[in-house]
This record gives sequence, structure tokens and C-alpha cells, in this order.
Amino acid sequence: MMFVLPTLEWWTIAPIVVLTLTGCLVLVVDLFRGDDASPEPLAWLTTGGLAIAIGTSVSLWGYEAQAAFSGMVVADNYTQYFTVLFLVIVGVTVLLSFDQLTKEDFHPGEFYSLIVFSAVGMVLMASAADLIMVFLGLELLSICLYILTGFSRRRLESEEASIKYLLLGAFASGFLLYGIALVYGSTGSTNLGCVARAINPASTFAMFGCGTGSVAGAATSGLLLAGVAMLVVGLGFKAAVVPFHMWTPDVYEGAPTAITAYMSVGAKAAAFAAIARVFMIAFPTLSHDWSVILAILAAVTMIVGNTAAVSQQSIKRMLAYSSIAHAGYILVAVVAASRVGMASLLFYTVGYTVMNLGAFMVVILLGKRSEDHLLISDYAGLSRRHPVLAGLMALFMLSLAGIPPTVGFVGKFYIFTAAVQADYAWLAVIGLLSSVISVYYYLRVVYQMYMVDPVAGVEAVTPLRWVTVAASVAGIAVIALGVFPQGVLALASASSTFIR
Amino acid sequence: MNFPTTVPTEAYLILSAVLFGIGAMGVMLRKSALTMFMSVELMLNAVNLSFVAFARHFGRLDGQIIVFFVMAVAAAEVAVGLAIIVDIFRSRRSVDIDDVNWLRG
Repeated sequence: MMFVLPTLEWWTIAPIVVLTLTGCLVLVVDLFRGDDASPEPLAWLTTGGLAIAIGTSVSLWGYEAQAAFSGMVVADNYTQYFTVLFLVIVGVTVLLSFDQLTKEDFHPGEFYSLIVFSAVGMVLMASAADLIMVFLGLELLSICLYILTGFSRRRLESEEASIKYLLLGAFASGFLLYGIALVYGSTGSTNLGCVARAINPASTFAMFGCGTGSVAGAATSGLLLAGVAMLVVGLGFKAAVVPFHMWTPDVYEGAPTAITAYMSVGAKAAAFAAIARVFMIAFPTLSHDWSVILAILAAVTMIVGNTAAVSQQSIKRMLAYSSIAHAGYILVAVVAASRVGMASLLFYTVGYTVMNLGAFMVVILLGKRSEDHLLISDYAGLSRRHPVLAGLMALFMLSLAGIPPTVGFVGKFYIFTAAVQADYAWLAVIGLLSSVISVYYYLRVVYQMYMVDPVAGVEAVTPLRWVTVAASVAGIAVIALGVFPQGVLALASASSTFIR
Repeated sequence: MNFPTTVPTEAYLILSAVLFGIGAMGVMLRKSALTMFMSVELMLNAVNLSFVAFARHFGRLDGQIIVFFVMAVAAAEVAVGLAIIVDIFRSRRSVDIDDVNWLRG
């Protein structure tokens, strides 16, 4: 009997290899350090690994090869676009968490390696060409996040957020896995290209590594649709789409603020990277069935997220509900199921990352011991204590609300245009109306900062220098991407060529 | 000589769906974090049964290989989950999910 050894195209997964080695190296280096050594060398080591991974990812731009590792991962522009975005997010998180790391004796070795391993999971989700890779990437990301959520062990809230996230997350991945099993059962394959071909023999996604051989099963519709519905549950949970959003406010409030920032942009972007890829490649012929379901979910998500955010007193909970609403906007782009929709999804993900990370940077700057001053009323009179921070926060709030000339406005404009072009005008109307509600709670923060007198007893904090610089860069990016969106938009269109 | 009757694939799938349902009900109805966690494991193993049944039905191996990946993931999840539950028990002397209610919601 002959064994044919599979070809291993290591170059295709170079960013993943670099990240994995970085994570292991951080763990090993940490072994040889004293217990109370400064986390700074490890932070530099992590950042160096991230920089190399970004470099390899950028050099893979335009590579557009066949799916590697027997049709498991694919390294197209879409993968590289998301990889660079994820790694920048991880880099910012390393910067944001540094202060908390020194104040609340976190073990830096474990913290940095976990955050790098979770980045591997996110990159795998974006590069997956097979449902099993989606599952493995999602689990790698989730398991790291469960631990990171509970990292402030002194605080009971952190522990509690961790157990809630773990139980609900594992429950949702059970559904995702059952969905994969049903899709496998009805199409005979888990490869995205093969699944598409089993459903519609005319579809050819040669890039996704499904050869020309016959596929085993015939697509039986009942089983297949049940499988697709379960995939929506599993992936929608990670993206915090209503009605799978119950965990979001509690977990976001309990987790260390830097990790909340990381989850709200990183995990969400990774979930949408996987959702878009799975639905556009594997099930384009079923789009009549799933786009209606996703459209209803998107509408409910936007309405629930925006109305629930109105009554929140804690800034972290408010941003949690706001992130749910933004998941709804991004889902509208998936519903459009077109190349325009995909480009707008990619653009909005970047815009949302910039403005949401910026808002969390200000939250972190104002927390004296990282986890206080988290009520919206603590922002009273901020414009007199820290005019620069207040200005930046106001800018991020306006951008999240979608007011021109910020990136939030341009991103929403593209998404709703794609929805109208795909005959989902009603969804665009619901999106617009619900973002009118969002203006209220975003502007409430601005009102507190500029119109209300400072509360006595809230002492001034000295902002951290590097985080202030990062927040200023984010502020400039919010305006720059809002006025000149063409550059990122061109990259986004070049990344969505896998859809015809 | 074959067995007089072979168990049809549907029977495995029905059993798998029932096990998955029991697991899902367990997560939703039970109060102890440990029992909820065991129910999640039951759900994952129910799915494994479907994968193996489908793989046998198609006469292919990939479904069975997937099961190995799922088992590895489940083991990692158990390791992390039990660590978190032990940590919760140390600070609150209980793993009842109703006692874990510092956060609203």
C-alpha cells in the first residue's frame, strides 16, 4: 500500500507559524525570569513577534494560491487583510494592558502567550477553507479568551465573567459543531468549496481545494438547512448577535478593560471573517434561505443593542450594548451577499476597530487603578480636567454614532448602500432609525463631559503617555478614514475578489 | 457471514440528536456549574457520534478524523473549565450558578 504524503506549503501559513513560535518563546523566556521581574522585555518580545508576523502577512498580499494543507487553509487577500487587522489589534492590546499588568500582579508570561495564541485562533478563522478549521480556530480563540477574561483573579466580577463566558461559549460551540456535522452529513464534505459543489454542481471555487472528483453525498435540504441554522447560532454567539448576546454585557463588564477592548473588536472581527467566508463560499446557492434569517437577526440586533444601551450607567456596559448594535450593522453587510457588501464589511470592520479601540483607550486612561471611574457620571466635567482626552472621547462617540465626517458615517453609508442595492431597503431603514437612538446614548457621554460640572472627589489622573499617543493616533485615523476612505476601501475591494 | 441486520445510519443519528437534546436541556435547566459543564461535554460527544455515523455511511475516513480533533478540543476546554470552576469554588465556597451573581443580567 502506498501512502501519498500531503504537500505542506509552510509559506502559506507563515504568519501563523511566526505567532505560534512567538507564543512558545514568551512562555520559555518567562521560565528563566524572576517572579517580580518587569513585564517589559516580554512585551517587547511579543511586539517583535507580532511585527514579524505582520511583515510576512503583508508579503503574502496578492499570493492567491490554492488552498494549502489539503484544502484546510487558504491565503488570499481576504486572509491577509484580516490578519494584519487582528495583529494590529493584538499589538494595541499589549500596549493597553501594560499598566494593568504591572499594577495587578498578572503573570506577564501567561498573559502575553495567551493573547498571542488567541491571535493564532483569529487568523485561522479568517484563513479557514474548511468548516473544521473554523471550529478549531474559534475554539483556540475562545479558550484563550475564557482565561484572559478571568485574569484579574482578585476581582470576583472577573471570575464570574469567566465562568459565564465559558459555559455559554462551550454551549454555543456545541451548536456550531452539530451544524458542521449536519452539513457534513448532507453534503459529504466539510471543505467549503466541496460543500458549495455538492449543493450546486455548477459552482466552482477551485481555490478552495475541492478537486474535480465527485462528492459523496447529495444535498438533502432539510438536514442541510438545520445545519446552516446551527452554524448561525454558533458563529452568531461569538459575534454577539441578538438573541445570542446574553453573555456580552456581563463578560465585557467583568473582564479586565484591556481584554474587553480586545474582545469587542478582535473576537467580533474574527467571527465576522468566518461568517462571511462560510456563507459566501459554502452556501451562496442557499442565499434565499439564509439571507432572510440573517436580515431578521440583523434588524433585531440593531434594535435591541441600541435600545438596551440607552439605560446603562456603566461605560463598559454601554460600550458592550453598542458593540452588539455594531454587530447588527456588520451583519447587514453579510445579508447583502454581494461583492459591494463584502467590501463594506471589510471597511466597516476596520473603522469600527479604530473608533471602538479609541473609546476604550480613553476609558483605560481615566481608570486610576484600571477598574474604577467606569460610570458614565464619572465623565462629568472631563473637558475641564483633561481637555485633550475629552475631545478624543467626543470624537469617538460621534464616530460610533455615525456622524460625518468620521469613519463611522462613511462605513454605515457603504453598508446601507450595499443593503439597498441587494433589495434590502427596509433593513437599511431600520438601521438608520436605530442609529438615531444610538445618538442619544453616545451624546450623553459628550454632554457629561462638556455640560456637567465636575463631581467633587474624583481626583485628576495623570494619563499614561503611550496610551495617550495611541488614542491620538486613533482619533486622527477616525477623521482621516472618514475624509479619505479610498485607500482602505481599495484594499477592501481587492480582498473581496473571491466572491463573483 | 454478516449479521442478519445492520443498524441503519438513521438510528445513530436519532440517538445522537437525543443525546444532544439531553445535553442542551442539562445546560439550560441545571444549576451546578459542574453539571452544566458535563452536559456540554455530552453535547460534544453526541456530535461525535453523528460524525462517525456519517463517515461510516459514506465509507470515508474524514468524519472519524474530525472526531479526534473534537476530542482534543473538548479535553482542552475541560482543563480550562475545571480550573475556572475550582477558582470560583475557592472564593465563594459554591459552584451553584445562582450564587454567582455579582454582575447584573
